Amino acid sequence: MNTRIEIANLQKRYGRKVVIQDMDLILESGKVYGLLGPNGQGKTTLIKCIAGLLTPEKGQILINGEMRETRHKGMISMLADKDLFYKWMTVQDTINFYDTFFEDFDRADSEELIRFMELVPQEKVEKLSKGMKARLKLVLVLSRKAKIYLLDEPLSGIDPVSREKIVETILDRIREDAIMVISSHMVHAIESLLDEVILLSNGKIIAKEEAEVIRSEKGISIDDFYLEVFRHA
Amino acid sequence: MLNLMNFEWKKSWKVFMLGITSILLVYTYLALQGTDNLYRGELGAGIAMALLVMLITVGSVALLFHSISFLSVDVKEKGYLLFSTPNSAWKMLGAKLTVVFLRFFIWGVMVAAIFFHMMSWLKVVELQGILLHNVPQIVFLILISALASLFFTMTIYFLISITATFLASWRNPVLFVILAYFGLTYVVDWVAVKLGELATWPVTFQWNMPIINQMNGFSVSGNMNAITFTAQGLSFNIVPALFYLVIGVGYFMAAGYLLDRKLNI
Amino acid sequence: MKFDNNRPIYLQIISEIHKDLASGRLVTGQKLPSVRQLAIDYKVNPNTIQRTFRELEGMGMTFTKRGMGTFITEDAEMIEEIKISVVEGYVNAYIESMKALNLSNEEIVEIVQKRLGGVA
Repeated sequence: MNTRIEIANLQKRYGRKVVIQDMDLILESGKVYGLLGPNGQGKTTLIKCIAGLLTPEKGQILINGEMRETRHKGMISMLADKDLFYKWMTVQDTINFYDTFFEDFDRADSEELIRFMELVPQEKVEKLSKGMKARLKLVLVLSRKAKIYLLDEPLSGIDPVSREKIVETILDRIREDAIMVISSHMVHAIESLLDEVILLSNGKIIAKEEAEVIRSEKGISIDDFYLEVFRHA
Repeated sequence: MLNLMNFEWKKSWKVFMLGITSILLVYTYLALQGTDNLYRGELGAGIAMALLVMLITVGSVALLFHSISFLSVDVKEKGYLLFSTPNSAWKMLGAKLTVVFLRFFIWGVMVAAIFFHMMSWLKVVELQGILLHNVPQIVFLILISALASLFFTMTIYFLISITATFLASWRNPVLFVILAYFGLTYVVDWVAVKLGELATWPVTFQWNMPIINQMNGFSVSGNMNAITFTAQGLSFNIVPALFYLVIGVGYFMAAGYLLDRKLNI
Repeated sequence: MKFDNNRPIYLQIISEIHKDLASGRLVTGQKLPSVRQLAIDYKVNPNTIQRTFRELEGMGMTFTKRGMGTFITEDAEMIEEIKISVVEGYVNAYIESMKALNLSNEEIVEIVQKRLGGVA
């Protein structure tokens, strides 16, 4: 029942530029990982590799011991920075899409979340503000009872009220048999969510530590830890 | 699979229906104008005729290029949506192609029906007679042109899938697709013609005509180098056609494999 | 509630529980809310609550009844000790801060008595 992701010797290039170099990483069930680092350091790339939207040049990604393939997508729920919707879709259309194509989608849960996030089902997606779009994306991603949640910058550019609702919703859905990976700049906003933090710099993991250990051994917040690491990186 | 097809259909069905409706409306206006106005060169009739021809031509080209967007948009912008579902790439491509084929076919039937109907009120009796007696042949021709359009689409899909996988870091995927299309088609057509010369396995549809007209024999060239029109009938060489079928299936399998295993979007 | 992110959160939650014991909001033998509920209440990762529970159990402050939940210990003496340590903690902190302002013992007592409405 528990989920496990094993990444070994991962390398990902864009043309000549190597974005992820020789990365080894193990992600364990029931944990919330914070993937932190400045822009362009490989956070999104790593997430997309796990999700199967990118194919690495070298290395492998194992999900529960199996080579990553198409059917694993049914276990992975990803929130991307890019907008996911077609112009003609309403909020309801997006829900129907997820309901149709993902077996683990919980329709009742989504309806409750839609209400909580104050979204209107008939509203056209393109008319939503940035904050409302972010809320919708989160509703869709978290209404799935997936085994792996990949949230790429779920709070980026979001107003404080939306942020709070989003954090609360994420918190409520942390499960023992699932893995959550959240990449964010807004370290402060997600501090209380994180079990472990992984700091990426130039496609390499320069730090991987339990949040509470950082706090007890260094007496600083994850936010400050981030600053400390990247000031010298 | 049905879900995917439904999803693909919903993508631009309104524009599609708009195209069909507007053409039918223009044609109705033209038909109401009557043959007298048409033969007398009345402006209204003339404009309607021109508009009809333009709409059909532009519509056909638009339909062809729109079928491409079914995949290109997903690969370029909306990939996160479709490609994050646990559907195999073959299923997704299959759904797109089915919808594309359906639309081509409907369009073809509409154009043929308009032509058909026009011949009747234009009182071109002989041609009308010919058409009425050759419905299976006409349906066959519609089918062939729909399949030809499908083959075109599939070729482009194959090339698009290359740009979404191996050549994902190339900055000008459109240029690649255009150039590669002409190169690839040239080679494939050449092989098809050669095969057609080497082996013939003709299926002939005889024209069902009361009078044998002085119809000049002409052959259809292009994607389907397999059809020859003669005064006696329609000769269809299956050998090159089979070759195109194999190539088409090959494109499909390859595109599916690439999008499933080597995706880079 | 807002936690200080510079210190381990689970320790701060244990502090909160100590305070609740001192104030009587939590009593001996009382059942603690579930991990999930506490996570929602405190707005923290459930794993942090798990860690808290483990610590509490390790310290002997709580015990788990299989299938029924986690309960505050029945050991009244331990609870008393906790109450005392919570109070002492505050008192010591106060005295230290007063000393840092260079007040003498007499001055400190005077101020406190005044504050409590007594006679200097």
